[in-house]
Amino acid sequence: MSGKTASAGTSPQPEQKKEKGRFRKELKTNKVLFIMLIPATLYFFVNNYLPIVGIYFAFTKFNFSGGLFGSPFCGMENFRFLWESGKLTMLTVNTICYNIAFILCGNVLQIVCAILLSRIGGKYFRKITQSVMFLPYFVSYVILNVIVYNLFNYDVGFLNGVIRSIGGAPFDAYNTPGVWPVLMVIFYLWKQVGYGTVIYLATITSIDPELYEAAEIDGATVFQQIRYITVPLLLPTFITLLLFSLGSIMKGQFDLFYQVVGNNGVLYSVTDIMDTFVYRSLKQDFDVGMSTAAGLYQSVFGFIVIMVTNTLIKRSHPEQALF
Amino acid sequence: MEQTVSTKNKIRRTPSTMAFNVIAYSAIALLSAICLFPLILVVSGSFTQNSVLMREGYRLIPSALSTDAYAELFKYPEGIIRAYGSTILCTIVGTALGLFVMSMTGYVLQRKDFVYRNRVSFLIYFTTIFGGGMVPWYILLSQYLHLNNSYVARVFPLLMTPFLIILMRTFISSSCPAAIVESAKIDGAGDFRIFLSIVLPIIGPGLATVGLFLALAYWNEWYLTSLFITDREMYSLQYYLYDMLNSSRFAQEMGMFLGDRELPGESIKMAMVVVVTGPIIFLYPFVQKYFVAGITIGSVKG
Amino acid sequence: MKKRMLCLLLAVALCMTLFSACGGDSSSENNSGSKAESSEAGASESGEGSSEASAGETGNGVDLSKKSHLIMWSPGTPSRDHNRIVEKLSALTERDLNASLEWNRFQDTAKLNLLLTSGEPIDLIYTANYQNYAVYAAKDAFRPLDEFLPEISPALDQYVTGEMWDAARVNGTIYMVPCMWPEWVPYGFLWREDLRKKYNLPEITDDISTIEAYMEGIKQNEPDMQVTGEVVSTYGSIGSHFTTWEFLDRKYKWADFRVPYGLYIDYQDPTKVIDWWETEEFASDMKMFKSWADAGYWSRSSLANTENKQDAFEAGKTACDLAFNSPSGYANLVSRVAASHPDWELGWQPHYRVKNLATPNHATQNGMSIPNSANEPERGLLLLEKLVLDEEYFRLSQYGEEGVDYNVTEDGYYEAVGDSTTAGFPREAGSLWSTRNTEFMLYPEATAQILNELNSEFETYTYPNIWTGFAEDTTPYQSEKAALANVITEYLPPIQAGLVDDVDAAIAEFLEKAKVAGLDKIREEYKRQWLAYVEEHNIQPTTVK
Repeated sequence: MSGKTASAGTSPQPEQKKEKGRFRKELKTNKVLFIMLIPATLYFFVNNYLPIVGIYFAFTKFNFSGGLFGSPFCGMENFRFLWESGKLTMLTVNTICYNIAFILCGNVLQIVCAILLSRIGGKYFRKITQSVMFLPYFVSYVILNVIVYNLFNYDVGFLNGVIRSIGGAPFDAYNTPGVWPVLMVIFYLWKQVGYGTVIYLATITSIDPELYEAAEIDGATVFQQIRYITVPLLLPTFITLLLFSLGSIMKGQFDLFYQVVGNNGVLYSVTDIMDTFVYRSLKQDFDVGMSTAAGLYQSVFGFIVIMVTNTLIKRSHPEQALF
Repeated sequence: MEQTVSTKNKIRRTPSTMAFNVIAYSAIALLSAICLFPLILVVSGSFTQNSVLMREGYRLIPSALSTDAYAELFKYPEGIIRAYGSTILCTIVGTALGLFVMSMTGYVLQRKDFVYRNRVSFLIYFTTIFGGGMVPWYILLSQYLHLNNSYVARVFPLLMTPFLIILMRTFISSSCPAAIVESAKIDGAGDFRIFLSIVLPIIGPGLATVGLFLALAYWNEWYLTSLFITDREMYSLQYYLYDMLNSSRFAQEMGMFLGDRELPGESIKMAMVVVVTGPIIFLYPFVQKYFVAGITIGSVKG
Repeated sequence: MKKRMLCLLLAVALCMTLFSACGGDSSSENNSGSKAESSEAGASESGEGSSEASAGETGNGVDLSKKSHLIMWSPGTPSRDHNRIVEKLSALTERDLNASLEWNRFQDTAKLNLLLTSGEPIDLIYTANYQNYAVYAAKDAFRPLDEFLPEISPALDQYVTGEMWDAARVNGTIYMVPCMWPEWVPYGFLWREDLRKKYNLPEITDDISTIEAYMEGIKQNEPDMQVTGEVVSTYGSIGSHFTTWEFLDRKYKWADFRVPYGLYIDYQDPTKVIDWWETEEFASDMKMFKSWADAGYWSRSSLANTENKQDAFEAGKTACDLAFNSPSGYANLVSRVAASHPDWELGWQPHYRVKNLATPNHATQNGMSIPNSANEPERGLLLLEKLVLDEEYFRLSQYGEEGVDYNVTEDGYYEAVGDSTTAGFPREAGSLWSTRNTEFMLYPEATAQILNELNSEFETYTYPNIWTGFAEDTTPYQSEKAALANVITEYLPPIQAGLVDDVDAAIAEFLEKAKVAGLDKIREEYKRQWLAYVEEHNIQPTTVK
């Protein structure tokens, strides 16, 4: 971090004099290490930290000739559209709930798949199914929408075709908001299951086989082995993945919701998330101030969530905590 | 996977094992079927006559078999071929470069004698929470760095990901004992030399895993193309597909009438999906075996 | 340690702010720099620079001695041979303007916004009222052309007549060069004439019951077809709407059916503005749509349908379209259908005919502007002049290369080389609708006949367009508008699609939510601006016969 400050060219704060001495010493002994950090420093500085300045957009009334710093300051004005629609609570709840459902269901399913796959004997079965489960990752949500529409639409949908052929009354999916939270989770799982399973599978294969052998000898069943050996050893992975996902708790799977729900207002009360709401609001008068304001809200929210979660994790698994 | 095979021989066929096998096989088979089902619809749709497809919707087996969609797609294959070419190029270059810098960073971050490693790790992680938004980033890359219409714009933003760096770091620390590094240092080797000649060879599986995720990110990329690339010949594969899929939606939303332009029909869109996604399906099983050999994902704090 | 970290972070952020501020300042410096340059260029006496054949036409004092680069943007997706045409065009600009040309496309308004916001150097860009021309102009995205145009390009200045020119004013200044090609683009009812005859359904007249009879007839006799494929669209409305909304244009003599915020401006008395969503007529219209939805004329899943209406119609999936856009659209459809389904017969009833009131496209429907970020504003304007007034440029940019992409028949009609699947640069593939010129335009023969017929018909009952030139200033209610857009998208399309159980209750709920979002405030301000506009432009009440 001090390496970063050095490359940005500031002079150290007065209170850092002791740091500075230590820093110089560190620099001398580990010069090469600092040099090896330069690519990362450069990358994150340019790609992530420099644009953070743009947060100021959220507080200006953007004018094209003024640009970022020339536009007049307007305080919290840009945030008004968020709560004026009366929807901020609903959106926050929707976004968070969906993300929690995605994270939990996603990870649980991936862990289960990884465990099952690791124990299956048939080599070809394993290879083929793993490849098949990975396929949806390559299919964009645009295609998924086409498929979903063809499955669920009222007149010629696949689902209703099957229902009608067995004599039932067709199901009007697109006008029934209630089923959609479940459906969205299913679509998300469909797309992500293969990808996440790889991570857990890799971790499982690094578990020392002697542990399993010892448990065998002690007479443990497969289920017991899983419960007492595999799952606890997967926990650190799960927590790390969790922490990475939580930072984006207020940002949604924009692609998924925008493509599948689209402009179907009937479903908005249960499927509208922050990202789609902001996108639609600003579609005509794309105002950079308002969109940045929304993004800032999401970031701040995510930051608070991380801080809280980190404090909780510190209690049970201190080595997994962030700081 | 050899480990599982040897243990299997030792596993007695207890009732619980049989029960487990039944559950495992059927669950995985079911999941695979669910994953496969929509894709079968897509493939079947691509082999159906367009007008029939629009009227009747998608079926598991095409009701009016026709290869018109593919014929039309391959009438002028240059577009697809170029998109393949440029995507392969970006993927290979980006993955190689990214792997190198990320493993280098990971190596530095796991060195216990590097005092600032935790702070740097946190700063890297912090970028996943906070950002300035798309517009300032776009302005920086296109106006100040002039990356418009260049491959750099497609490679640079994806080069490093916090998640993969942490992954790499943990892998190196678990597979590279400090003793080896110390003895190499005593022999007078510099840190960089240690990294190149000692560390890199050992972490093969880690490189393979991170490399896979990185390559996937480059392969599936379309967003960067939509922002920075205007030259049709530099389109990424997914963007090429996305462009085609969205041209009808775009036409409707812009309210203009495209008139003489042939808007791609449904079956052509499906054929496009097959052509873009197909080859990967055949590649993946070969790549699979390289990386499942044991990596552990640790915490952000080293 | 945490605290120190935070301090350091702030310090770093602070210096980055300064860093970027420098960047920000220099870009605004560039702007003022180029403005000074152009006034200098204007002030200098003779036309210098390398000899060009059209030196006489280029206007005065533009220095063309230094080789430079022009960047132009138009909407749409690039066709397969787009690069070839750009190369040829660039050769022309290098010859005449000593500048190479780059011609890019933007796919949607989001990209357009990004281009303008990021201050990307663009010398010429397509703008339109439906693409927020007024909003961008009010926020200083474009260069004012009042004095710039006559100075740099007298030829273009002459070409753009006073009325059209004035209509492009925003806050008193002109920021775009409007398209001079007159166009009527009504929506209309499209149907399958062959099916109508087959089932002996009544002829389609102004009476709406004939349309209902047709739809019912199709429903009874063709169970495999969907009667109509109406969908949700976002074109021309705040938030989204269901395309049945466009059907209502036939019924009312309003200034324009796209007047937003549920307002009705009476064409015959422009000072009369009614809150339309609250009226009985609106409710009864919605009930009519509900009866149609209940009869099953469109799918219950229509709100989620993203299929293109025209594609569905051409594939034979639907039998009619309540709001099919434009005469040229219809003409093109006829020629396509003649090739793919020769046994079909089509009919189209433009809404203008039903209400006997036609309004031509407003001047700001298609135009070209020069952003303030342009590096070469003078040459950009000269390029525009060439594109509109020079036949060589016109033909190349609109139709492609003669002999390769198209041919001109003896009668002066456009004839495509190959068919739509082989064409690398189809007609008007560049989406340069704003440089159309009546003198140079070429039509395919079949299209030309239909267009001429319809246009001469519209001519007989055309009245000036009073509304689409109104440059609404949204800054007083920007937040409310964004909030309202969301309310509209959620509640209005289901009502317009008749997919609600109780129309009156649904409308009441919608209005309630809309008022919470700030509808009243918006309406008040909008009415005030509109009445000021009416007074400023002296718009008189018109009697429509």
